[in-house]
Amino acid sequence: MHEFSLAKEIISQVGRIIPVNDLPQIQTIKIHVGEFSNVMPDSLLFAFNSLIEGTILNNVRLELEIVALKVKCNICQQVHPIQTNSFVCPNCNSRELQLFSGSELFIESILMKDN
Amino acid sequence: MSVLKIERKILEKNDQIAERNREIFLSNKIFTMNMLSSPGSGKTSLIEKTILKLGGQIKFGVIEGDPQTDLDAQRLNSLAIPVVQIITNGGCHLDANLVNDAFSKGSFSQVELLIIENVGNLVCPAGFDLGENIKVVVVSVTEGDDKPLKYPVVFRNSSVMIINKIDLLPFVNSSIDQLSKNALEINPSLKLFTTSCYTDEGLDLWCEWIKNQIIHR
Repeated sequence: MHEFSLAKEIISQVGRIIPVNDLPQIQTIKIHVGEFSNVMPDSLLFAFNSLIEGTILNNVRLELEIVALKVKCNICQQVHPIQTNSFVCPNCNSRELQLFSGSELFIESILMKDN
Repeated sequence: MSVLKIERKILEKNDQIAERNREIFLSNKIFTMNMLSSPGSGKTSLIEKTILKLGGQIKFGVIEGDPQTDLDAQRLNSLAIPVVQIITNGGCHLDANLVNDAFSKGSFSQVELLIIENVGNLVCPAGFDLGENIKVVVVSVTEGDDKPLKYPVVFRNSSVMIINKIDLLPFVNSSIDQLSKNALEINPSLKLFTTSCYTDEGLDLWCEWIKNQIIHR
């Protein structure tokens, strides 16, 4: 359900960044979505596509790049991908871990068609 | 084709308002807890019991979030504390702006502990910073001991987990040990409490911990 709020935020941010006259030139909005961000990619795409239908952004494509959940171990300093249900360092079994990636939720770039 | 590098958080606006909320809470010396859980885990009962036990010692304020009705605010109004109800009209989470607005509507300036009871939902509210000091996740034994494995983000992002309704343990197929183990697998620094709002078991330890947070805020 909150994917609709996020899709609205994406649209309003793009509206703040790109001048109105240039909005029809937008081809793709590229988003980074972390595996550990509680966002369902298909729902976000569905929400975005529903909201832009019939608007000036009608043909804009939302491209999602999924960012894997990785942790950095405070003991051995290594970075490893892990499963979401067990925060244990695969190298040294330490539980002193910090999130390295996976909580991302940002607009990475906007691809514009040439005039 | 040209590529515009943006690199801006989708929730940038929410995070900015959350930061503003944090400054307001800090300047008013208010410790703020964001309480999260599934619907029906007993958040409002826990808040009621906590206020009844500590009401003479700590000045409380509550912001209630629900998709519909002000029933929770009505319940808490009898405790003679400032309460503001946010009705999200079906919305699945509170955001920083709703909290900012609710805070400005209440008489919270003298409050020492502000409890924000989020909308009952273990998914969406976990992603929205409200400007709180800590997130407290409540899970009742009737929900099963696998909740942390199914909803890891909220357990990873919380500082405290309260296992509630422990008086119902004889009637459900759920284990406190297993629930705690599952939660600590995801977040080993979680502070754990076990409570029953029916028998009052565990509430004194919880209240003692709250008192310490207020003293050291």
